[in-house]
Amino acid sequence: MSEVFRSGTEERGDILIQIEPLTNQPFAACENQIEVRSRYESLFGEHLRRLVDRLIAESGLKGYRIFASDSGAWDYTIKARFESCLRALNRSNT
Amino acid sequence: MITPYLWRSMLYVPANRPSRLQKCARYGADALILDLEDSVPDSEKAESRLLLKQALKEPIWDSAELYGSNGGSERVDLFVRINAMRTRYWREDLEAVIPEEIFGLKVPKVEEPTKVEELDHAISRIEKASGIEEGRTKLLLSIETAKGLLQLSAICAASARVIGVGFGSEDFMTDTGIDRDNLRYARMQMTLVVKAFGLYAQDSVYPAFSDLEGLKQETEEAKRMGMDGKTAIHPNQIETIHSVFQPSDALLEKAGEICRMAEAENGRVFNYHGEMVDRPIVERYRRLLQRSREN
Repeated sequence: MSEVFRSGTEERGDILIQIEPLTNQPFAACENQIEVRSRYESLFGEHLRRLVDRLIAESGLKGYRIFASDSGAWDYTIKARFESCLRALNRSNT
Repeated sequence: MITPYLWRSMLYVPANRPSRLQKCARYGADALILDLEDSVPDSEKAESRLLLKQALKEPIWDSAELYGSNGGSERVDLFVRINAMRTRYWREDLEAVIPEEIFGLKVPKVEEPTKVEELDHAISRIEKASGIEEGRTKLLLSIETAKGLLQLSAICAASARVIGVGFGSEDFMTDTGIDRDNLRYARMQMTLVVKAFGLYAQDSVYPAFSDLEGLKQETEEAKRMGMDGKTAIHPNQIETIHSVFQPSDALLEKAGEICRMAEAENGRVFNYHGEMVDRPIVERYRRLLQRSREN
């Protein structure tokens, strides 16, 4: 079973981010599967997706499922939670 | 001796809660203590540290109370409570927060002067590596054990960064078995030593945050002991603490003189009866006068 790396919560003002390796799927090594949800979809959904896409691109992640559930997090929280997940993932890969 | 540090209240804010971090500067506390220690479980230490580091870069630290008549705003003084030096977390806490714009660290469970020296050196190394003026990061130490209290003179003298000492009543009670009604001797002993060094003396939190009458009594007692301020664990405690810690006439007079001299010196450092006064000190006295006018 693949390991899931998690950071954050679904409390107000926070965002829950989960990253897990894609396995047994075609093109798993070069594609990501991204799912982003927000309680404030109509207001910030587009901004949130752009930010998550940028963070993923900067991280160089490939072959992962990335799930984000936003409860009104500000950008600094999104960046911090994403970085926490990445650090956990990197620790596990070394 | 009158301390140059004028914080009546400092509000504890858990560093693992984004919604609290976003709002806390607006509650009107004189300073904030962003907490990486007791309010953060071990499993969340690493991610809270990252969250706090990112938060410290954001423009969310302007205090509502400090909004000036010119419509501008000012950053509230920020302290970060790091984890105790007997844990494995404190060095990573320093690496994360020293490079950011903070006033200082609140250091829990201080017991030995050598530990303060070790902390001073560790901070200096990070300040140097980050291109920050050495000595910028101040220390507000917390005495929470009988051993720490007995060593307090040496602890206060251990680093020029030390600007004050706070009393941690909950851990002190756990350490000594003394109940809350009998902490006066220890609080007073701490205050006497702190005052002998001309430092800021801070009382502990009053944990029953809905009991404002009890808070008022304990705050009045702290003021009578000579303490300068008190920590808060809930925003609704701030107003009560401020109502008790009104500045004395002597302090207001000093503040007025310093602000007048600063104006005449036009930004230069100057000597006030043997005390070096620079911009941050002038700023604190200016805030004091502003608050006293508002009150």
